[in-house]
Amino acid sequence: MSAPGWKESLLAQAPCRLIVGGAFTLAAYMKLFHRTWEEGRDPTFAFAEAIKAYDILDPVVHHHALVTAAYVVPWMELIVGVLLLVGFWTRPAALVSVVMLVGFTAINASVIYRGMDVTCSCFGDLEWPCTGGVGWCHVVRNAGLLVMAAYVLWRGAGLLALEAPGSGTKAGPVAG
Amino acid sequence: MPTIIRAVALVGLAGVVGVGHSLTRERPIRLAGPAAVPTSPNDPGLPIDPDGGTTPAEIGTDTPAGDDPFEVYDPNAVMLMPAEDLLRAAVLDDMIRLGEAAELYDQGALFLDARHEDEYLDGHIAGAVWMPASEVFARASELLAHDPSMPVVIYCTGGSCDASHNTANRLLNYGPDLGLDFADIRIMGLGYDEWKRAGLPTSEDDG
Repeated sequence: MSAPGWKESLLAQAPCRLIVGGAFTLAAYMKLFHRTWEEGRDPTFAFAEAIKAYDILDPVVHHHALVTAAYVVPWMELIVGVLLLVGFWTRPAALVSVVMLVGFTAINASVIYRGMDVTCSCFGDLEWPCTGGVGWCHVVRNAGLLVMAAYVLWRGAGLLALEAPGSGTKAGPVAG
Repeated sequence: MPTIIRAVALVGLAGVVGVGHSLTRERPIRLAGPAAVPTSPNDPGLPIDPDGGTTPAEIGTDTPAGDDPFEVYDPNAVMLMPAEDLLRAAVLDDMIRLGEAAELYDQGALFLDARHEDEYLDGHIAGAVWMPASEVFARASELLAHDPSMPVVIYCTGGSCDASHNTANRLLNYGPDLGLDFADIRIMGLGYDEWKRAGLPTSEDDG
């Protein structure tokens, strides 16, 4: 596979990176900082309750793991999202995002398989672009983001990035 | 390889920042469940059993038949128990007995009903305020007049019903933000039906 040309870099790599980075950053912001004042809910607590509702870990036995996940997952999303947006350490960030999206998609699929009515809480209280309980829309959305993240992992940051074009690649892009 | 190493470093960074963030929280998050909810400030709650044997449902179903119902909670024994004995009936470890709840009622404790609204309207402890977890934010102002130093007793249908715990969790996590800094929140181990059967004050007013 040849190194990316400027067209691919501008029209594919950069948009994919920015979309995935933007989605992760928005998701993290909603989980960490967006207190819904009309209800006075702390977003981290709300996310912890959401994780509990997925019924993956026993809330009694694994209480600390659930609460820790409610803090660590959003911060991971924020770090990865910002790095993808600015185009720095793009491939490592894309790799983490791929792993996270595989996990999120698998969890969503398991919820559908188990016939549960669970709110996604992927973007906190913001239901975008899917509404209602976890369904195939969420799986398709995550799969779309997963394809884009995998593409960025494969091809690199593209244009409009802090890191030098072709950084982390052996071939490097074709200039111009 | 550098990509993988850097990815692991990012995960580690997120872990450190996330745990650090959790430590900055004044009140730790407590999710519903008996191990997570102290019933009073001095009560650390049920110890966590690594085998997961402390959930209310398990305690209820694992109770050996023939145990003293005044020492070990047994929902079947409670159902068959004479009304005069209900005040002394054993409850799950992190809850208070009906007799203790009745004493607190006489002392002016605030009673919160965590059941469904139709159950509340059908009948509730006299003076109790309908307050399921989902209503805590919307109806917090109704509790502002209550003396925060006085105990708060939350009840639902008793036994393994966790609605009381959910309301308690909301009050513990958000109460201070809502101006409700209750110092002593307790959960009644038996439910409204047992309270009524024991001849304690009830009401059908809508609160």
